[in-house]
Amino acid sequence: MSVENAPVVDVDEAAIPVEKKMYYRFESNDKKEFRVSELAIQQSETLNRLVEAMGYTSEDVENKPAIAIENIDGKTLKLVFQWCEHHKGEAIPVDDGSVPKIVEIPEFDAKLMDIDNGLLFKLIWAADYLNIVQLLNVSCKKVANMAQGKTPAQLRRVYLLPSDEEDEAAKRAAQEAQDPRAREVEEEFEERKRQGGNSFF
Amino acid sequence: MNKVRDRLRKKLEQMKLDKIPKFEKWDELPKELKLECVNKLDFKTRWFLRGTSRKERSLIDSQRFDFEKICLSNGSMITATYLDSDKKGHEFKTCSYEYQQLDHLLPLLAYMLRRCNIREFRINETHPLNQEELDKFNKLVPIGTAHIKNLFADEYNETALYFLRKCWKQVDEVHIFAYGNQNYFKDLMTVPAFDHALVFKTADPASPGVHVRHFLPMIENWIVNNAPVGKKLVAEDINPKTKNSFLLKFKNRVIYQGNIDVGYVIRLSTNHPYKHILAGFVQLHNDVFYCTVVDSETELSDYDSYLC
Repeated sequence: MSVENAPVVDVDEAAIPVEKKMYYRFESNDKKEFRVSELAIQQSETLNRLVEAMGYTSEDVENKPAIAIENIDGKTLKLVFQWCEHHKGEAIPVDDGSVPKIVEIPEFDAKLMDIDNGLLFKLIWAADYLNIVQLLNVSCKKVANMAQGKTPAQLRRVYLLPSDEEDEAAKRAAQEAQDPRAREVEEEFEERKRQGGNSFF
Repeated sequence: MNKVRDRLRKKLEQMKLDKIPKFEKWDELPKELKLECVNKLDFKTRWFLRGTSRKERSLIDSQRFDFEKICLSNGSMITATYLDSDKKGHEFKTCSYEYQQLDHLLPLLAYMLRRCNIREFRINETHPLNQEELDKFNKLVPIGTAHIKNLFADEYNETALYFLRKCWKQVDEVHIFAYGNQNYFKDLMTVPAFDHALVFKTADPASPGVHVRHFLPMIENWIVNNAPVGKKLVAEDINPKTKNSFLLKFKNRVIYQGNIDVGYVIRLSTNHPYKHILAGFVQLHNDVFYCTVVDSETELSDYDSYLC
């Protein structure tokens, strides 16, 4: 895909200091290209380190191939970079390890995350992979909010949690699928028990 | 008629459940990302999530929740306070069905002690745990596993000693009101958490005039076992005249004794060349005996700051 046709993230140019006005090009695993400001990239520890290590000049950015991000698709990456552009220049929160954590979801983020669960799941993965602390916070907060204040029965519905019995049955089924003989042995054992025998020998 | 009503109620409950937003990808998240979500939940939701399955219990148990304060009162009520990351306080209370019995609160209390960090654990007006409670609790919370930083008991009794035994060795402060029970020191000194606590405060407002001899084995222990600098005993309601017993006991170690602004001070040597013990008999609203391990370089002019 050419740069002209690539989905370009909206950039508030007035908010960017003149000397920082450099845009890097990134490519998703489905070959969609994005231009992202240097300041926005700073929200991602992974990308920030990457571009620092590459030491690109403005010419390099234009002339060299876009930086490939192998693990993330275009739809997710677009959300990630929209978030980074909106929050560029903001301080990155430092985790003091305390639990519980209070995270407010700003209006912009709430709208950005008005997406289906599949995409939200990918967004969480991407935020973690790219080490974008606050995006990980708000996206996980959205998942936490679904559980907040629910009873155990409701929680089972929210996260589709299997009960212990269902979990064990699933494990047994998986084991049997790996070793079909296991089921036969078990059936044989049950049959012998019914017939009064208590041993295979 | 009742059957119809029941069916209708069940249907309504089901419709309510169906309307709840779902996140069916939960099980696909790796543990560390699940924990990122879980650390944003309040305590009650965490507790409920822990009750859904063994898998979720194991997840919740792998991340310690921070309590500011947990108070066990009347033998059957738990009041818990925690701060969120904005330092805003949240409090909840829960009490047992049976007065003076912990019964169904035991799993909750055990979870708090075993799997949470507690800055302050208070035991107020407690009653001895019955044997059934003890048996259950001992299985759930082994000795030395409760992450409590400061333990306060408004009375010295078996329950206070029991919970102290459950504490880990990184207790900062133990504060116990004796209420006439001065023979407890021998028991306390056998508890590892007590031995490791940096500060021990005690008072006996019911029968003031406590003899300083009760504390001598503790100080002797500091001298012999190289107690860290900063280790401190504050005993209120003591009899100041009993300082002679203190002097008699440690007469061969006295480096300095005399009056300073705040009271009478005695400085002792220890088995460690760089550590001394500073003891003071101070009269405030009551008579207080201070004793602390100091650096051997400590100046006379600094004594005041240690005795308050």
